[in-house]
Amino acid sequence: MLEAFAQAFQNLGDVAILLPVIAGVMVGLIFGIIPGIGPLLAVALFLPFAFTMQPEQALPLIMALSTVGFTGGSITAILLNIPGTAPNAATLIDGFPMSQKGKAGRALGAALMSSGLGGMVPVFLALAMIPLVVPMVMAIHSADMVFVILLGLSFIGVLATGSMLKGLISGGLGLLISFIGFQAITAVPRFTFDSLYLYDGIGLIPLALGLFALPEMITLAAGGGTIARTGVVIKGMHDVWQGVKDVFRHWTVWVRSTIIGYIIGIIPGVGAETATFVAYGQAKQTSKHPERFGSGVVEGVIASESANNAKEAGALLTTLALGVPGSGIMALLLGAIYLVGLVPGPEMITRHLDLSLTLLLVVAVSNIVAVAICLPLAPYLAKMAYIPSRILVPLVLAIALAGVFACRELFNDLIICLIFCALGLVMKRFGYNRPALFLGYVLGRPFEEYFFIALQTEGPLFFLRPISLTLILMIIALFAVRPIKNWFLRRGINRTS
Amino acid sequence: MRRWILIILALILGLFVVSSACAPAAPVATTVADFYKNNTVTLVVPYSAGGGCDYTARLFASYWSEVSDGTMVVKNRPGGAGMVGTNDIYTAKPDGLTIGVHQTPVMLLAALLEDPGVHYDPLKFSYIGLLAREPSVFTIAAGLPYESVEELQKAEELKLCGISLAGTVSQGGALVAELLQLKDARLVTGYKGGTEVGLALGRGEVDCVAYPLAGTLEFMEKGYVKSPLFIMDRKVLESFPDTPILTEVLALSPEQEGLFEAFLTLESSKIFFAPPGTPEDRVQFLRDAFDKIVIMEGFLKQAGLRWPIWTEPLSGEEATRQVENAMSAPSQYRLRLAELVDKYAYL
Repeated sequence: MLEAFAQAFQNLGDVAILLPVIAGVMVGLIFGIIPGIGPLLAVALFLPFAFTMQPEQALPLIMALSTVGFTGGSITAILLNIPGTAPNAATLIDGFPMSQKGKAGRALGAALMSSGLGGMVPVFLALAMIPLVVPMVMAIHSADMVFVILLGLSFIGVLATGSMLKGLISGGLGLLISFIGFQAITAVPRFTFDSLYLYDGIGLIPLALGLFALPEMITLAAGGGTIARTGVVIKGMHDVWQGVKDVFRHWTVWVRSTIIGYIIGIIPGVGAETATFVAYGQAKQTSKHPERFGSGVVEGVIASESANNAKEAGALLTTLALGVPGSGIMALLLGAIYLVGLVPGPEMITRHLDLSLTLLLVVAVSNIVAVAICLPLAPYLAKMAYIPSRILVPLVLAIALAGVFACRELFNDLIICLIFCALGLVMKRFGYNRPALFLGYVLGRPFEEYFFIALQTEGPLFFLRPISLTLILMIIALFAVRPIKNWFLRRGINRTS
Repeated sequence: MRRWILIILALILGLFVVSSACAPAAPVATTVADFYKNNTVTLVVPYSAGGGCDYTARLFASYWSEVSDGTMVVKNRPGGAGMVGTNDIYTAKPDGLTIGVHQTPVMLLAALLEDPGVHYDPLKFSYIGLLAREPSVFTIAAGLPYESVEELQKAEELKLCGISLAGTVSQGGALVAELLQLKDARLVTGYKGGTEVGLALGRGEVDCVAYPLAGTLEFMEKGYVKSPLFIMDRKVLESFPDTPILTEVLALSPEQEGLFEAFLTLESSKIFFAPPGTPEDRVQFLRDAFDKIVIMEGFLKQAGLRWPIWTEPLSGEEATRQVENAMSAPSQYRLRLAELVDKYAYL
């Protein structure tokens, strides 16, 4: 183990590896920032070149590309209400309102620092977890997955900033949308209207950009002015440092969210979005001022961004140790491992442990490099919130729609994007909760799939497994913690009076 | 002064136009080899990047230049379980520059089941070759005590693993349950693919599976399943000389034989094909190139990582015959296989 460690550090010190990693970080950041074109596409585009490189170079480069894509995605989420990658959707709930309040620099500082640390620290946790990962993944059955996803779904109620009913209606609508497409278990196409395009359901990118980015731009164009309220003074780097300090000020939020992200990352099949929304939800539930979440509080940004990058270290470990990809990007990494002549699975943590450790260290280094690149740029990026709408809106609309089309080269994606833009505008106008719809849409499908498998394998009493029961208790605790806290608080006040 | 500048610019432009017109025309491709040397071939994969088909395509494309001196690019066209991409290839310009690769059983089964999304006729494609053939093998989860067919037949309420209700893994499971008369056996469907099937077996969620060989070997390596109980093929595998084939462990009636044969025509493999109407000489060039690539040392080495037991690829002519066989299997057996899946499925 120690020899493998020494070799991993030596590998990382090699310029032939370090340079591709730095290049990967830069390209990954750019791909993360451009809406619609996430790190998944960056990795897919790079795959043909993987053939021509040595495994020690190709795999770290892919890792760097994918790791920092989520960091890049947070920038557009905060500044433009555009989730650069799907998991960044939780960041915009508080990130964009911060930009509107003129605190874009602070939000960026917090996002960059929390995602940087969130991606770096769990790597060391991952190294310690290597012997535990296989038993842990094997212990979690499909029946338990139902409740992991239910835990994520239950945050629909938590996300509701105004009316709880409107939050639930939005979440329910998201669930309905997720059921569009071919249902493999029953071999029945649902709500497809005989259209082959709808067989795979509604695409994530057109939905996310249509729902969040386009309505914001249209509102901005109609109202004129800038994203940030006029009259707010730009403090440049000072604001960014405030955000960086916020991460340490709210270190408990960061620690909890990082652990949540890391553990959800290890479990294959749950989805990256679950991690960020669960982290956001717990931050809100345990906060002293939950009512302020959604209006632009920095803890919301810290929670989702730290979980976002932390899950990558967890997902990488499962991919390497079990040959089981935890996400779309990890599936591509798995393909790349084959392409460069290695076989993913137990051998990666025995015979090729040095390479696995190198990859884990690359995750840490990539996050450091990404923060080092982005932090000095943050004050300039924050100025985007002060660009007049007549310049910003056409530019963003063009990039966003081009991103939607570039993703799958389907014209229908543009139509879907516009439909969801209309829906987003209506929801915004009448105070319905768009993140809740997004969460319902993202988690509806996996919830249904695991629910049916659980029924088939464990029967109607599938929830009686110990892990399932623990998760059920966690869901109950999630909703009970606040009323109980309030009750104790009231009791204390009564006694003193 | 401005007038002179304009005149000079006009002269330069005029010279450029004249020199362009007098320049020799680009060489016209005279042979098929020249045609493929000078043009880029697009290999369409009807799935997202990262899967088995994508791996096959990228591996094949990386050796294309060695046999043609030309370029091949891989284009992912996912959607509708491969139907979107296959429909696109079917209607692509038949100039030999657009070809596709697909999982043979998925492509054929969708057409056989007359899925409304299918807008292609498998019998009209020009087939270039077929590789990564793997028979299905029947295995039992590592944690279970059953070691023989007889012991399995005594077991009750066995859970057989399936993927999609209409897929070959589900059909294989239902067929085994029917042929072995497994008591109260049920088919669990809904797993997304090999990764999930392996985990389900390893975790003990399901008890057994009829799965393609390469995936099964991976499950064995990870300790999820035991050595195969029998091979669902006509021939004994060289790598498992002691493992019997299905017909050695069970005498089949003519009706059962028909069912088994219908199942075998949809053996797992990857098939390369060109749109209908592609000129014969270009199809022949593509077939020759395929035959050369699949025996290259580097190709075989990298393919061996994914398919440790490599079976001889089929040429374009042989692939065409395989497709014709599958499409002409008596429909009553196809229907019966689908009925068996319905019979054993929970939902």
